[in-house]
Amino acid sequence: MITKAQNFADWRIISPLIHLPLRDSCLELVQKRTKGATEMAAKPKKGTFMADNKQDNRPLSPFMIGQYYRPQWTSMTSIFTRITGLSLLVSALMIVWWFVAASAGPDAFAVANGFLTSWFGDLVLFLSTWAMWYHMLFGIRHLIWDSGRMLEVDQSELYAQAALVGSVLLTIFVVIVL
Amino acid sequence: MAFMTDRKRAAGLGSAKTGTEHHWHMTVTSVALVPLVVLFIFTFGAILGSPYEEVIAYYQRPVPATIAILTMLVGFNHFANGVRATIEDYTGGMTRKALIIGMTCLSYTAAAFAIFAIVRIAL
Repeated sequence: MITKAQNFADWRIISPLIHLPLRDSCLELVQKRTKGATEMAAKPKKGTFMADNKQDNRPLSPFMIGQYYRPQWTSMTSIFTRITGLSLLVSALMIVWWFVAASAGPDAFAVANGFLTSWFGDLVLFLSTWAMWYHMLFGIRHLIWDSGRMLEVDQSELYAQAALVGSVLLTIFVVIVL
Repeated sequence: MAFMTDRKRAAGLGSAKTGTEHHWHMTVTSVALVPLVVLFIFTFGAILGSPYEEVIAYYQRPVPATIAILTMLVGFNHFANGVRATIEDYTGGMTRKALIIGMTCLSYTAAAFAIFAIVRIAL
């Protein structure tokens, strides 16, 4: 009967015929793993708990997409809900400044109003309008989910696609009307 | 190695107590913001770009002023709680505490300035 060690040795002899860099990287990996396992068995770190060892180097949920998970409609739209919500702080603070300036007098108002109606201010407010609709439509998705509805993957993906289109259409509508 | 599992460490400590409260708060404010933000976009958007006198006259009217006040109040409240959840997801320890305190203070400061300004214009 061929043991695992013998098998490994045989493979090491024939492997140069296949691919040298691949063989080297495989060998390195095997050595690393063997070394790591030996060290861990020999001296467990002080202060580690049984439950901790199982979780060593496991990826954490917010950092899964892209590296470990294929991007999906549901996960990507979910992340953008957060990004749009956070980025709305910029335009919110601009609007606060606009109100404070208006209450302070015509001179202060001219500065703030000039900034908000400049091409840069327009661009920020335009993007924020889209972010607002997006955040709202996908916030409503959370309310629907919380009520126990639309939890099926196909329904959820359909909502994501429809809401993305909806946010763009509503933004165009706002630009046309205002 | 100590034979201590996650469950054992958590047992007896009681619940965090504020998790469901936070979620319910986000639910209430988000529902309130759906009509508020739509109204705000169309009232604020309508007057933005107008001369100073028109803006002042517009925000002296009760409905646009109240929409703006409520949007700022509820909006920044919703933001403070939303950003808190984000900070809790991505940071820990002192960084987490400092960011939550900082963002909460920023949110309420911005809301207070906005509300004071709108009230001052209106009255």
